[in-house]
Amino acid sequence: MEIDLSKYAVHSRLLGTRNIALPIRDEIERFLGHTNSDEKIIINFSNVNPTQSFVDELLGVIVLEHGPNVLSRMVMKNCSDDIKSILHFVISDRLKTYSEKNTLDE
Amino acid sequence: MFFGEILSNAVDHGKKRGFEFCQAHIAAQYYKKTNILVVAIVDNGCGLLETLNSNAAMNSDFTHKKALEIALLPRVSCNRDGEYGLDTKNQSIGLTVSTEMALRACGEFTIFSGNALVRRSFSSANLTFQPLSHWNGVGVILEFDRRCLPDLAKSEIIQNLPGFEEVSLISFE
Repeated sequence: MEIDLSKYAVHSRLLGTRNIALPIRDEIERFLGHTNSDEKIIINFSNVNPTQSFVDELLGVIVLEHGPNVLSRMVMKNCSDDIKSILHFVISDRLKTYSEKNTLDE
Repeated sequence: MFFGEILSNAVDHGKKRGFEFCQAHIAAQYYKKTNILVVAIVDNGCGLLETLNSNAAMNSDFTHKKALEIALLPRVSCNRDGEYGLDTKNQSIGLTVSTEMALRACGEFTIFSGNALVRRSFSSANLTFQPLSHWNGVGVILEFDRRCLPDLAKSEIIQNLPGFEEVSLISFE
């Protein structure tokens, strides 16, 4: 399955606000919940400018909920260096929070 | 990519705090003779102090000046509304990255909110604060020397933020 983010950037290339990410995240969550663990979802960043807030709402929340293993089921496609930096920044931060949360829960 | 975060914050924060009709406006002007590009974003929302007044970094100094000061720090200008996402912590890098880009492009930035204004130029190491009559909302003015823009790399600025780490588990195609 592939999600083309440019479909959601209606008026420009900007994917700015958190609420834009919510239906897309629901779509990813549905995929993760209803497919085998070896199936991957491709997230296509072609022709979009996502903000850190958008990426956090889209993927940071999923990582926080499911932990690092969920990343093995996702592939990030057509990412510029700027987008790659945002992804690393957001996901590393959420992985730290996930790790802290689980240490506290133990 | 430069300003998306500021624009989205401008509207999001205001609407979440009851400023249903708040708007953000953006304007840009290029001055050919001096090669200066100026971009201004202004909103009539709740302002930085309202957004940050529950933030520990305010250190009980509930002034517009203090709010401006901490809004520029990465990971401090937090969105603590909790309306979206599983928790309430936001990494908050939009303002930090945008202002750093202006400084790296031999420019300057000015931010105003409430009764305070802060400014910094690339040639100065310090922030300069000034009082302002009052603006109910936030204004951000970024100046860039166009000749420096091709050398700007947003990715490099993000990679230099505190706590940045590459995640080897992310697959890119």
